[in-house]
Amino acid sequence: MPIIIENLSYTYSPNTAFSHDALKNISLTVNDGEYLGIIGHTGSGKSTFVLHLNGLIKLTSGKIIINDIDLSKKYDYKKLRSTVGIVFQYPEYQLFDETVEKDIGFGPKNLGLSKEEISYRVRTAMEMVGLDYQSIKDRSPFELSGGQKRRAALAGVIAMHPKILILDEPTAGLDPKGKQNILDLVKTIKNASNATIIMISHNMDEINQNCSRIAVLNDGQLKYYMKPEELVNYGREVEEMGLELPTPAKIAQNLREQGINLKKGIVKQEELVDEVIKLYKGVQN
Amino acid sequence: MALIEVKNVKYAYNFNEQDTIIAVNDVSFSIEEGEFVALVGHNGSGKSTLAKMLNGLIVPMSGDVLIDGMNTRDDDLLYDIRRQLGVVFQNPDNQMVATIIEDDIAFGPENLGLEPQEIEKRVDWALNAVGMQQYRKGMPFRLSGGQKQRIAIAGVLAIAPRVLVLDESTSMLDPKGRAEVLDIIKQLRAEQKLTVVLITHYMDEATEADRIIVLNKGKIAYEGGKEIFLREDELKSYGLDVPVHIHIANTLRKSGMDIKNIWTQKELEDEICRLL
Amino acid sequence: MRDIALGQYYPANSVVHRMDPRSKIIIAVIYLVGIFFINTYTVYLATILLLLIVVLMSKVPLRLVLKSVKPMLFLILFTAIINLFFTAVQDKPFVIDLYFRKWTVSNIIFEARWGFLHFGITWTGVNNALKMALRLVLLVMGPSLLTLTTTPVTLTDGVELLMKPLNIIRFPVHELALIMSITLKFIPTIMEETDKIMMAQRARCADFDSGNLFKKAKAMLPVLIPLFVSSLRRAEELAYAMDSRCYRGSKGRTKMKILRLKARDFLGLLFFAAFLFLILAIKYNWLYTWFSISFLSRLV
Repeated sequence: MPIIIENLSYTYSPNTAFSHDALKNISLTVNDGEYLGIIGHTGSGKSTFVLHLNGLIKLTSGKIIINDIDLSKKYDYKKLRSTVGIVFQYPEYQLFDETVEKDIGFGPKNLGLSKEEISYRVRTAMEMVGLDYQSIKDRSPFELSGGQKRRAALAGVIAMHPKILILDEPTAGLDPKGKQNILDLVKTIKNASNATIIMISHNMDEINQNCSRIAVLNDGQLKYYMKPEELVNYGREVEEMGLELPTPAKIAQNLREQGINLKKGIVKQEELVDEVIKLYKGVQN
Repeated sequence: MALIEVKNVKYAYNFNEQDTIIAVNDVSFSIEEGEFVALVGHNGSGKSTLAKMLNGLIVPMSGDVLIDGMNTRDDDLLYDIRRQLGVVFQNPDNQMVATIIEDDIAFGPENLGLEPQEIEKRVDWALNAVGMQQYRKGMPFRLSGGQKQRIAIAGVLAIAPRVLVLDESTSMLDPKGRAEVLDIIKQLRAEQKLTVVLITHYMDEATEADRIIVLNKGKIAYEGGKEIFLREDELKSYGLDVPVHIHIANTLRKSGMDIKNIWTQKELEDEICRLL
Repeated sequence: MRDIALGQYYPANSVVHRMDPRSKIIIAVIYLVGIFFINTYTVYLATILLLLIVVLMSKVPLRLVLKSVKPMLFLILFTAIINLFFTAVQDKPFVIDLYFRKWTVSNIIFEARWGFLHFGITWTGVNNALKMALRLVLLVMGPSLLTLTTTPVTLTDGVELLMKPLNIIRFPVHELALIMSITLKFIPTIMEETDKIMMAQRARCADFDSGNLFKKAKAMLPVLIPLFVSSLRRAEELAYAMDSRCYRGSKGRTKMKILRLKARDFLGLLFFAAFLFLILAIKYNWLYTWFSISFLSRLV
């Protein structure tokens, strides 16, 4: 079941001197199994938007329907939050329990599941994120390395078996290898569970790796919502919003402006390389 | 003698009886005054430990760190060492002590026992150097990450050190914040020829450096110029990445195009134009 | 919104704002002491007038000063009611003296007996309740005016300077002031982090709202523990940053902002000292001059 959002608006501290329109009339639909990327400058409303999807921010204006749950009516919040899981930025800072097993089991426990089910979910979640169950389950989460902590936090959300997984800047603070590992991990999770993935990121290169569609937010408004290869044709507009196109697209755009006849819609490095080589071979002949 | 001398430095962390991690394993290098050195390495390569060793926050288990000839092992010299070498850390929130920005920048000069007028002058100058003058009377928690780091840099600059060490100061920032910080460094280099040690895991930040030192698993894996950018596989084995445009250049070269050595994206574009 | 103005500072450029925090703190203390010795309505009125004049001088909107009483309203009402009903019932004449007219009435307005219990509402009780309420209201508005006109930073600077003499007995004045400053700086940061952690645990279906007090406390562990751990981490990082900026305690430390007492500070201190003196004089009948006996005592 898709996520349907119609005319979503939100104002912080309405009727006060500090009132701020964080979201202005956003409408979009996310299909099952999509990998959606959300990009926008700091303060553009990405977090506010995403927090509506699992009910952490109460819907005040507009319509949201997730998996047939209508957020404007009364709903079971546990059902919603087990359907829509959110991994926040630097999730490792939320670990708290005595053992890794207990921490990861926190979500399932809150859902009232049986001991066996909880244990099963913890084990499978740990395997999915690459943490060895036997050697790590009884350790204190605070003993783990930074990378392991983040995986444990991710496992804690996956253990809820969400159909929709939202990740807020999952690669924040990691080194290049770490970043790639997390992105690969998200892909693995998606393939294994067929969950719908929504990823917030600042990095166009990261978003363009796996996302099927990109939503660009600017000052609370949804400016663009399209496939990566279409978005790159709006280079100027994207840049004006303080964002950057993925590097290959930027280079392609600049080259086109200098008269090089590169085809449109180049997003990935490999595409750029192929196209340039093609032209080069053409020139040589 | 070089301004910074690191000689056969070793440091290990003990988590419990079994896990001893050797963070820094026999590392030596030196940095001359006026240089811009990038210290790059994957997370856990020892670079943050090294950063803290440069101003004596951590003392090596064996080996020595000498700043302007002063050994960091000597507690009595730490104050003078820290007047010469300032460090800006990673977390923008955890470096400030005061609620008002000008008071926080004044913290360093106040510690130096300077006269109030001199402190005011330094606060003025430091705020100007990082382009944050209009926030002088403001409060830190309203600022963006990049702005907070600029304040942190100003706080260190106010001490007027000869060396500025940035310990992963951009890791927690968004692209805009990163660019702000890197621009400041460029400016400071241009205006004062400040010695800068940039510790990072982003290779693209190293493109402006005079010298690049790569740390891998506690040891120096490479020390030299930007040629390392051409050795992608080697960099990958160190857990690092080349900037996208350099990767593209390398790939094009492999496919037969005679792309000269380029470091910036613009240079790549110019080269491609030239060849097509 | 992190604009819960720390200590509700209201920025304005008034003479009160510009006064030295030390004098303001001392004046606040004198004022508080004085309130406890006011015993006549005339003096209460005079004090209210004085307060209003200071509020005017401070350019702080009166409604903000009055707002500060709000949290205490319940306590004030409660105290007043206690005084109203539980003042010992004495059947004696009660004199209401309004300077230009006097009434003498029976003290008792309403009384009831119930076995040993004899309680009721008397004019004495009304008098006590009113005076107590006035005292509490004035008590609260004074210090709030202090925080409205002085930034937390300036206040801590003032407190630090006032405590300086304690250095002689090795009291860690500088360290305490620094702790206060750092705490103030981190309050919004930690509040923000608490929000984030709560949201993250809520996203995992944690429930902070239902259950009895014990249950609720237990439910906060997933928030308190990470908060505690991260605070320790912050402390360590901050210590590194401070050391890196040549911090070595108060040894050889100077300050950029030097507080200097000016004429307005001395005038203010003098004025309020006189105010306190007058209050005490009226209460304890110190001035045995014709002026006090005949004029002031007639106002009581």
